[in-house]
Amino acid sequence: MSDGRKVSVLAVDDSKTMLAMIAAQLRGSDFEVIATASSGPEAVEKYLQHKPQLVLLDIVMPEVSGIDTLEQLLTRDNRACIVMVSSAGTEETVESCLRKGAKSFLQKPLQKDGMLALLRNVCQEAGVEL
Amino acid sequence: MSSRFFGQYLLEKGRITSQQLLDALECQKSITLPIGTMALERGILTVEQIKQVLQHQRQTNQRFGEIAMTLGYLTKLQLDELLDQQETTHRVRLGDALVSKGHITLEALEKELREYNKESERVASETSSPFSNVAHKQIVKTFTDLMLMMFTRFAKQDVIIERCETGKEKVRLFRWVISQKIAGQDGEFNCLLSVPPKVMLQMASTMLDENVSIADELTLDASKEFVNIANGNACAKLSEDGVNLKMMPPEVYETTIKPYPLRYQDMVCVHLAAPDAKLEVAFEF
Repeated sequence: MSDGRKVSVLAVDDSKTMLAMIAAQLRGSDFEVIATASSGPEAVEKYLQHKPQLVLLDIVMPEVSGIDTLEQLLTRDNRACIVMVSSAGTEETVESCLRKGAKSFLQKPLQKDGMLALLRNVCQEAGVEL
Repeated sequence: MSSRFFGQYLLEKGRITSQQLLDALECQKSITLPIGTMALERGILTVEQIKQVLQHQRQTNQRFGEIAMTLGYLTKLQLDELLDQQETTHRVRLGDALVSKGHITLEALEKELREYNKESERVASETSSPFSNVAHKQIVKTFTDLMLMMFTRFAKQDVIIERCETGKEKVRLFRWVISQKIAGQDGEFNCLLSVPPKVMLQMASTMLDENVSIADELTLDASKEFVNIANGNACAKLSEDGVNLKMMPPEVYETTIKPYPLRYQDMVCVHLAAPDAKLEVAFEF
């Protein structure tokens, strides 16, 4: 952000490895993981608690899927800025997520440069100040 | 044969916004001919048959082609040919839609298509296909290819295919098995990656970007994610060919403590070799 603060991120994934990878890839950038969640219900709880500027949300999770979680988050805050993250970036899935209100879609494995460029674009479009 | 569809490729490169992609997909749908229309044009289906299929579709929510096959109006071969033709024009039409909506210039589209095709060719050249006589060939080949790509491109390890065999008895099952259930239109199957401890630690080290020496909870989690990414990319690739699959979260088994419960008779095993270890990708259909 222009005043030196970073864009706050809630990272949601049932894999601890992915949460560690996301945090590592965002280190030293304009983004900072301020909270993590390993399930859909925990994501909603952490979102309401921390009100992050950006959510990185995995799709394939046990019990409550990322797509259901996306809808739950947007029901509670229709201005939530959410980027879906999945290894299965099929046309059907990407389109469905965007239609339900996700701001964009990142395909795993995450490549640092591409990921940061996409997140910057999303922030610009959503009016999140960088 | 990229593991991303063209729209996602453009989105990740920042060439288009998500809103522009949605806009183009909407426009593309209006110009992509439905299977029924294509079949009618070729004289394969009559208007009456199409009406009956559509009536069933309203009740069952199944795909047009599946219902037409169930009702005996289309053979599998006819449906595959129609889907092939629909697919061939599909990618070009997304580009057309983006241009006609003013989201990308024709020059930029040509350049991006060239780079996308180059990436696809690179992926194709890195994979091999000794699967000529294997059942479920498309699934076995794609999932194996994408698993190999995870090892060679992401983990920077040389892994090659030694041979492909069918039958439950051909599966060796090393100490660690990471299994993932995949569901599709024609039922479900399990995709297994079976590796010795050394390979398991290498996979986890790649994912965690640090040297891992014990198989603790985090190592198992990292290995599952390794498989999840490879399989997810395979699902994305297959969706380009009209095969829609859904993955369940992967599970990990230590076979020396608890044998892996092979569930189905119909098995295909692809034997792989790293420079200093053997491993296998197996499929339970």
